Amino acid sequence: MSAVERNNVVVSGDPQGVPMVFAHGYGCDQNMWRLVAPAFEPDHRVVLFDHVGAGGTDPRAYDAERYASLDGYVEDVVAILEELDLRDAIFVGHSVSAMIGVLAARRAPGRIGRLVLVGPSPRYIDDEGYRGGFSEEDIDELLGSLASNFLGWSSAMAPVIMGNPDRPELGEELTNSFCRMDPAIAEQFARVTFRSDNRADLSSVTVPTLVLQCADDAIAPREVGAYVHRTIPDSELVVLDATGHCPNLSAPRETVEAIRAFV
Amino acid sequence: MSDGPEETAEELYEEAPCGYLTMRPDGTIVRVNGTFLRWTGHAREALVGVRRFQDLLTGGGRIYHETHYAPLLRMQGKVREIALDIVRADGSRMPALVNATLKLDADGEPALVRTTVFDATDRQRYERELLAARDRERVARERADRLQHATAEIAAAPDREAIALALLAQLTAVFGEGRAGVAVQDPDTGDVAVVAATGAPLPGDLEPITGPAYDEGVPGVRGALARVPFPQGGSVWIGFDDPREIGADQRAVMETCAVQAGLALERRRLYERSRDVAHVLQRSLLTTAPPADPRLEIATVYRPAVEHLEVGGDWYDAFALPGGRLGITVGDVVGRGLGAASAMGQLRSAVRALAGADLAPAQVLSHLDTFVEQAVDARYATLIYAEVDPATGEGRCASAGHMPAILLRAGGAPPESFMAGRSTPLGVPDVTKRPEARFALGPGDGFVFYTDGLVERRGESIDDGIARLVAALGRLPGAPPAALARTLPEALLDADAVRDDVCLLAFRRRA
Repeated sequence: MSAVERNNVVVSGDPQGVPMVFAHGYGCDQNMWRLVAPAFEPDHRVVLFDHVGAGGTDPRAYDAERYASLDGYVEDVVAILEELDLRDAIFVGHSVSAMIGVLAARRAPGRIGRLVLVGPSPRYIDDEGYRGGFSEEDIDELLGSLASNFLGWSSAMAPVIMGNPDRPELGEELTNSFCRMDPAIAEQFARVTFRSDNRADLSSVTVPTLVLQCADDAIAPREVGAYVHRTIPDSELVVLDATGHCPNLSAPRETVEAIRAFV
Repeated sequence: MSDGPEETAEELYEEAPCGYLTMRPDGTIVRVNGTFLRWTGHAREALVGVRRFQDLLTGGGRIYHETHYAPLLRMQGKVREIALDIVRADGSRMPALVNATLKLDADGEPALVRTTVFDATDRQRYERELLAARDRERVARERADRLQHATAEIAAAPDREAIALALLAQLTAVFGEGRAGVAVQDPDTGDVAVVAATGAPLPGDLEPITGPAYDEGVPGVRGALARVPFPQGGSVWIGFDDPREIGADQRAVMETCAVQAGLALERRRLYERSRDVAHVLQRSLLTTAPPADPRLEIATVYRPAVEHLEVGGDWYDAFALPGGRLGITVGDVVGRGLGAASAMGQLRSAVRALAGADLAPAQVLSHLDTFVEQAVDARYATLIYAEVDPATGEGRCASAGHMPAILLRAGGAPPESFMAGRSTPLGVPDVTKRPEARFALGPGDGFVFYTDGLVERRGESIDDGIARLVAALGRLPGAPPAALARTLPEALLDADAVRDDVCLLAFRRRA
């Protein structure tokens, strides 16, 4: 299976434009960019995709061993860049995908020319001399929430959804489908995301980087954004006057403006 | 409605059987009903305009809110039946099911969020029970799989060391790396010997115990040690440098594995003992020297199969008969092991006894048919028996379903299969009369008797094997029996693939 098929890659915009790759974070799928990505279509080649296990990907493509760390996701991003033969792309990564972008930029030099990190956090769990904002117990509680909320997921529905992503008559049943994920995959992805520690990788970033920080983000607090900015050599920090972890949904105009100013 | 009891909209809102909140798009609470306040213990003024809905969630719930709830609400305008814990004013948690709708303004921008909250304490308890039951079931299934795997490994282990290693591998899988070992006790001497161990055993590991013993250790004093004795003596242990909990599940796995391994070790010990006895028995029966007669040269060879640890039931024998004649026989009992070896011994003695009573070969076989009715392990044995007068070379021969003898001729004349006097294996019903053949051996003539192991080869018919034997003998014209015994097995067998025991007896009248 090609990476384009495996990751449900959708390409739009100007084929001659500078490529922009939008990567969604933990929780939902490429729909997270629906209020942001279209703004770049007139002058960019816009690439959207789902991480394996999320959105419109085939759960059978998920391999617990491959995705036991962020490396599997990084390899997928590199494979997409290579298959589409993208060079000097602008990689816009939200949440955990910010770190996936940091790792992919190092893994495939020349493919990623600029990084836009939206609500990045190199480590979510507090450590000595570092405040990520969460404790181990918080992560366990999250896993509990996942166990009680199989959003849009049921084993009976899965094949229907997989086989007929565009059937409008399924519209009502597809409630919560943007966040649907096999419960076992959701749990492992949560563990991989929230137990990762990529602090040491930040200083290796060599491409110009924009850190987009929300003024009030429960998942990536401002001091974490400042840490990322401080540690990545060629980076600038823009604090959006937005609440929550998803400015791409809650403050799309500001988000677009900040990215435009950077690219 | 007008006919119903009086109820104002305000009452309906405040006293509704669910929590009711209205928030700004960023989550700031702008209105909340009495039911929610009563359930959570929060004061209205502590919430309205002050707290955001997500501030009332647990840490994990906040992550869930940011990664699932808020994006879904924005993308689809509503969320339904999301399970979240609301943190009450006193810090306790109220399991809740939350529905929310997003109201957009005239420009299509989010304006406010309406949220209802249902107390889901009972539902959550029930769901947790279901989840716990599912997890218990999964743990039980995994344990059963592991035990089944362990049992299969232990049962398939070919020797004591392999049994011990399979057991240690299981313990390591269940407990993690530790100082583990298996010791067995010799039932005769009472000596305890370590069969396999990872890491040198400490003195305490080998202390005698009568039942499972678990010591979870004392910090700074001693590490944890789990030991289970085998009912047959000896024990298995796993120890750690640090104290640790040894769960009921781990204990159960350890005890079950120990029972399996104990049985396997005992089976292996009994088997080895019976194998040793069988070997001794077989050797004692086959090492008697053939009678020395200057007129007839006899040579024998016996080679056990390399693939089998158990003895087979092949035998040869040559003994003196009244009147200066010699009795010569080669036979093959079905099966292997102690049973086959003792049946072989019985048949060998019976042949000697019957032949010594001056019975002709066919009569010997007929009496053996009766004999094997009692000796079940000897039933369906095949054998060829000949009596020969070394002075004249004359003799008689009868075969009970045995491989055809090869007749050797003096000088360069080609050897040939001797098919006369043959009938069915011993104990096959409906044998009315055993046939018998007469022969006359000139000087230099003789016979080769053998068992099927000499001529059997994978993927080849037995007739082709016999033809190979005849051809090999043809290339050794006039060779003395000792030379045949030495060279034939080499010539006919693939040294590494001897699947069955090989038994051969060659005799020749001296020229």
